[in-house]
Amino acid sequence: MLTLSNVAKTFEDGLLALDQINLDVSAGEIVVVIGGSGCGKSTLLRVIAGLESATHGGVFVAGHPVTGPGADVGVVFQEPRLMPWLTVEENVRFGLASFSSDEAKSLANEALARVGLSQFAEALPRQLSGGMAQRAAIARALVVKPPVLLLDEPFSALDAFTRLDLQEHLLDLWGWYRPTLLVVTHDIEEALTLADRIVVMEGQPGRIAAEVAIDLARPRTRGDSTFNESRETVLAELSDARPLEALGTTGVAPTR
Amino acid sequence: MGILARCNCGDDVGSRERSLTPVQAALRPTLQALRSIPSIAWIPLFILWFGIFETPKVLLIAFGVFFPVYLTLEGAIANVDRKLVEVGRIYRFSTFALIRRILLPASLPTYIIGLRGGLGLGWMFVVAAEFMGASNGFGYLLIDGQMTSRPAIIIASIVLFAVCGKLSDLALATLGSRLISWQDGYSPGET
Repeated sequence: MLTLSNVAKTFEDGLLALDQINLDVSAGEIVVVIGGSGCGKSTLLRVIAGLESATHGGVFVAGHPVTGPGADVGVVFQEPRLMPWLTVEENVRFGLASFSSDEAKSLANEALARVGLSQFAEALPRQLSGGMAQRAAIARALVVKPPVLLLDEPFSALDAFTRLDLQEHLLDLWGWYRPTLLVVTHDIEEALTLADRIVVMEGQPGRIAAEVAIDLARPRTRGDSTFNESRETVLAELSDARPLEALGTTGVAPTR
Repeated sequence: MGILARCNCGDDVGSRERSLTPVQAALRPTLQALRSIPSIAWIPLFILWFGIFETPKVLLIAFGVFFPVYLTLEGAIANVDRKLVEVGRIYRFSTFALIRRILLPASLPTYIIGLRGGLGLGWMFVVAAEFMGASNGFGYLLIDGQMTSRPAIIIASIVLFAVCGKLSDLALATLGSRLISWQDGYSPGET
């Protein structure tokens, strides 16, 4: 469903952010990309989303090369990025310009029901809690049921309880129509809860250091022995990964 | 007197309408050069070209008000959160859709402040315009009061300016606060 072949990304200032990235994600798979900050994992996601172009290699979604943002890839950012002047429902309908207003409304209502925000459809973003705002952002990304959904540290700004809640919620939503999920995070527990496969990245330049298949049945219980084993494996891979060079000497790309 | 005031307001609205189209102008850097010309410097030219009646006055007010408002809008657009603009890119918005659906609503709060500033400035140019030769209007009354040594007339005109300025600003501010009621900013009085 999602193929990256030998992707490299060099920024205009000459910084090599990504190098030799090869990744194959099958339909309905949940892949979590994990790595230290500045290792290029967000850049990787932006390249897949078509927000940045790869300087080398190609990104393919369902066999088609990605040349820019497309309808078959949904994106959820670290911040909800809701338009503050629109109600929650209008925000969810934001990208539905090509639909008739009735269709858009029913699609938005379904997505809002899926994320449990039906009764907040008329609320303004400032009236939502952080977790609710992020759920609205997820509804906005899922409203057209894109086959691929990219999430860039979607829960990292939330408190621990909300984060756990939303991780479960994301898995429920995944069960809705089984999109291919690619989640970027720096939270090992989150990666272990969500992933079919964890991709460990190292930087810089950002490369894939290891891939760890997580073959545990869902729902997963944190702290049981197999969960802990997987965590040890991922932790070992993370510490094996080439450490980041001292910040400042390499000119780390701004967070995008 | 009321009629005179309304006439002045009309001039002002005329200028306002002109100042509402700066989006297209945002692409023309030559405007920056035009902007640095003091608006009052245009008066002799306008009088030569358009006579001494209403047209040059409306033009002067429009010119004077346009640039500060334009500058504010330009700054407001430059300050729109890049992250929101990126959402538009995700949905493959055209430039026009990006302006209409993200840039303009996001810059509206600052733009309204610019418009209020422009409105105040508009009243200033009303006086300047009427100084250049009018047979009615507040500016005329000021000059007339001076010529005929009647300070009461001058003071009455000044008071009327205060009243009209306050009322027009109140109208704009009320309209503005309705349009941007979604804002989650600090409002004095809340603690």
